[in-house]
Amino acid sequence: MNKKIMATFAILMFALTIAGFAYAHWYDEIKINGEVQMGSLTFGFTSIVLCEDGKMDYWNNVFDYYVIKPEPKPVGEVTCELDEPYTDPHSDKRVFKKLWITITNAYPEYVAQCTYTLDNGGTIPLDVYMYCIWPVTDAGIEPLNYYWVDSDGDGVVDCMVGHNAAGEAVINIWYEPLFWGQIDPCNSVEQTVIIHIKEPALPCHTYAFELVIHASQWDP
Amino acid sequence: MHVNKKLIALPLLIAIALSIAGYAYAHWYDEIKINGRVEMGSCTLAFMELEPCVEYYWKDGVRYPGEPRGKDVAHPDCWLDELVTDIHTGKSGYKKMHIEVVNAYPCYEVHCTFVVRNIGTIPLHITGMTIIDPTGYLTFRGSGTYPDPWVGIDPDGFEVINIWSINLVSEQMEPCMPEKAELDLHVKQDALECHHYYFEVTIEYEQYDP
Repeated sequence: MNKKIMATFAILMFALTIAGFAYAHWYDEIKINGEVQMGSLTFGFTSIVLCEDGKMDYWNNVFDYYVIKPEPKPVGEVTCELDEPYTDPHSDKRVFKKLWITITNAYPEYVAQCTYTLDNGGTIPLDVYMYCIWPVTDAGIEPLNYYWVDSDGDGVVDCMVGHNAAGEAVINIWYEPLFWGQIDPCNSVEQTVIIHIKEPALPCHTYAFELVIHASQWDP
Repeated sequence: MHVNKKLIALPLLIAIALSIAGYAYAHWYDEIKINGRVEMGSCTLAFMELEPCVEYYWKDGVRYPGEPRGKDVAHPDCWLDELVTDIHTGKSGYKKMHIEVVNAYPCYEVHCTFVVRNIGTIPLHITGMTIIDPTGYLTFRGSGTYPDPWVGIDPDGFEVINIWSINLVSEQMEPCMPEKAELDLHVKQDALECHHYYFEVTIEYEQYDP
């Protein structure tokens, strides 16, 4: 009998101990709430600074040249137009994704130049890292094969040359400067693309090309 | 305990692959485009108009039309040939002008007036005028401009014909612009009877040069 009483008491004590511990044990917690607001990467043109033409003139040899500007006679005509507007949803800044350069009544040694601004319309620094050229093969367009060449022999390709089927250079295209590197948000870089029509270009033909400038988020 | 090395390498490869994939998907990228279109013009020079060739003679330092003493002995003729149409402007002209003299004699002189026109869209620059005998019988020397004519010399070294042209060299011609030119022909004393003499004058031009 006594043993049962003692056991009951012991069990009761044990149960109360457990219950007492649970209720009496103080408790608290803290939280970390994370919110990540992503930036945006938007690369585009914002303005055309200059759209002009001229005529290539050589002296000494073909490597020493200068462009007579403006064109000595108003023969060829170049127009530069921004297209495909895009507004960065983050910064509300508007840029243009495409630049049209149209040259009419061109002739050998005609030179067209378009100066524009490359802008960072987003909120993340960007890095201009690649320039490409693609031929346009629409109906009525004379197909050319485009290659990068090292025009000044410094070991770095710096000029795109469009060749006809006979391998003759018809168009030279190059950038001044050939900009590589970072553009910070709200910053821009001024750049000029120069299009030089060469002797093998044929009368009444149409040539077309697409230049693509690639940028990625910055990489320190 | 033997541990298979492949089992160790496998998670490592998966980790690397995921890293690469993660980098590629996470890397933000943008591009812009410049579309260029070049429409070429055209450069075409052509004969457009031709006045009837006239014959004349000199007397006491004065030039008179026709032949001496009112005779009608020789006969000049000229015409345009080889129609060409500039595919850009759609304007037409002729690539060749013929001058034919029948029954000529020493001291016979002919004057031809013609018009060349730039029927293209690009200004052009006349760079030269050359003369040859397409049969190879005559050779020519001289500049062809007054007072230094092209002189046709036969294989025996005799001067048989003089030809002068209004000098078009160095002229710049704007599109649609005409340029009047002249050609004079003088048969010389050493020209032979019943012979045919030929010549071909080429007007060379290129796109304008400032």
